[in-house]
Amino acid sequence: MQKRAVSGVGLGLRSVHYDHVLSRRPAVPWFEVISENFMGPRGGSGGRPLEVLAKVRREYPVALHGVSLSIGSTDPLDFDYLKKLESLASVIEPWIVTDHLCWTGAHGKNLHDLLPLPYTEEAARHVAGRIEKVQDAIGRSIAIENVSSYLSYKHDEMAEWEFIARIVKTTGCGVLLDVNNIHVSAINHGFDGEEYLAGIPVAAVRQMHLAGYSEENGFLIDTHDHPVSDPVWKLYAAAVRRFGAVPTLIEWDEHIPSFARLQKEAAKAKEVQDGVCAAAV
Amino acid sequence: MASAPPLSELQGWLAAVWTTREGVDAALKSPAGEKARRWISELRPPSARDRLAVYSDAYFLRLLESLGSEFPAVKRALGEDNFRKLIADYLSRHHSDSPNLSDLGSKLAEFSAAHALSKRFPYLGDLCRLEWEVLSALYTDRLPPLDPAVFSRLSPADWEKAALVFDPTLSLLEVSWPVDRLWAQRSSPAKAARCVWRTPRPGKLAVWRDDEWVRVESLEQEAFLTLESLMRGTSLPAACAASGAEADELKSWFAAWAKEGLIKGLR
Repeated sequence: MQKRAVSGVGLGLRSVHYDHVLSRRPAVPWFEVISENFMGPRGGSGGRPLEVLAKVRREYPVALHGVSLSIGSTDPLDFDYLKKLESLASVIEPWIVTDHLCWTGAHGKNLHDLLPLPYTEEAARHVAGRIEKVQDAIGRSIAIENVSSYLSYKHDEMAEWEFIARIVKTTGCGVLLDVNNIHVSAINHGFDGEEYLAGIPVAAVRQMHLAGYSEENGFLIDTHDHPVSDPVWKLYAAAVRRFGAVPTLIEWDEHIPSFARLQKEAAKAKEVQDGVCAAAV
Repeated sequence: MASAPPLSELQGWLAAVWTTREGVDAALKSPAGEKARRWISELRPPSARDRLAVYSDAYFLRLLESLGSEFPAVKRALGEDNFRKLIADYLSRHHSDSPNLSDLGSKLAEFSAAHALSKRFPYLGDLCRLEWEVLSALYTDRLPPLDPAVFSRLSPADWEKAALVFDPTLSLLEVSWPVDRLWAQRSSPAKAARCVWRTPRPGKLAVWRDDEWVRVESLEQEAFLTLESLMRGTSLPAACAASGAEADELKSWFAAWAKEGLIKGLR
């Protein structure tokens, strides 16, 4: 597998588009996949999904994006899971391995959701320690993604962006900056998205995500089932101004449209990147 | 204000709230719910209750959707409401303890066979078992294709001890109901699915994965027993002798198994 420098706007690879991607080989700079979809159940292996991913990987760079690392959980790290992740990464040779800054379960129960952490010194130390262990276990650095959240805690001691900056400083991990998630949380909690961007260390941002959300009575839910919204495009332009044209992904996981529609959304993101970069010259 | 709870305690309370079957209002009346609510910010609307409810609602719907996609024939056979009830009961008994959602249905066959719905849908346990085997085959790596030259290299003495190697995706299933028919219809409109079998019709099934997807085929009793014996490692001559089948019949079985890619080598 050839290692290529990754740039531009990639797409989330979903099973409905496997045939199209393998038969048409569309012009997409890279794909992102959900790591757990290629691990299989306990006692299993990658099986058919991994066969397909290996074929895709022969043609495209791939990013591995996890949803189950549960880096913020107080349960012990799951080293069987990390072994599977390390094994998957050694087969696929992804250009980046990412997961979310959240917890997905505790006390032996996995809720399979991206649950918000309190932004406290205790939590920052806890997460940083676990990121270091994860990076040691899988033998590569990871990037952590900010999640959308629908609640915050009374005992928060710092803003989310300060929490991320603290963890990056301690661990040297990267940041996957989800611009849609910043906007969703900004509306739900009443902070300024651009202030958030200003608090994230520039050199740490390795990738960005764009997606669509749903609105319920003024409350935003990160549903990944719509086109990217206008306020998120605006915030994305601000992000590109600060962080440069880092590789960006269009996420669309529900009511998944045609591949051509996804490409159109990706082209729009590339236009924003190019426009911002041209204006900066 | 009381001192902030340790992260572990906070996560325990919240996990308890979000997984309460009766929903967020019932959960907030519990000691864990009362403690959790105390630490949710209410600086701006919506309320802490509504904010917690976003996660409670999503928990059940996410797991229901995941199990629905992994057990499509069960969902189709039961219908939306019954499937929802089955899964709600299942999750009350078996929460997820794995990072991989694919593990969530590992106990569904056993659970559903003993569930009240199996009185109305007596094939429920068999159908869940079949769909779990399908999922397992999907996530099992296949061996490379059989090299026919391995047969020509065997000496007559080796033949006496030779055992076949089968593809790891292959599994055999004895069922009391012809659930392979329901599985074959899993993507058809649900209206046609109402099946009213009253008496068991036992069958033998083989589940494996080919180049494209998972296959489920019905086997005759003799072929099933011979295949089962061979998969246990019985030597070829012994398994063939025990089968009681005629030479032509044996030949046709082996030809079919080789053609389907089930035989991967000799040991």
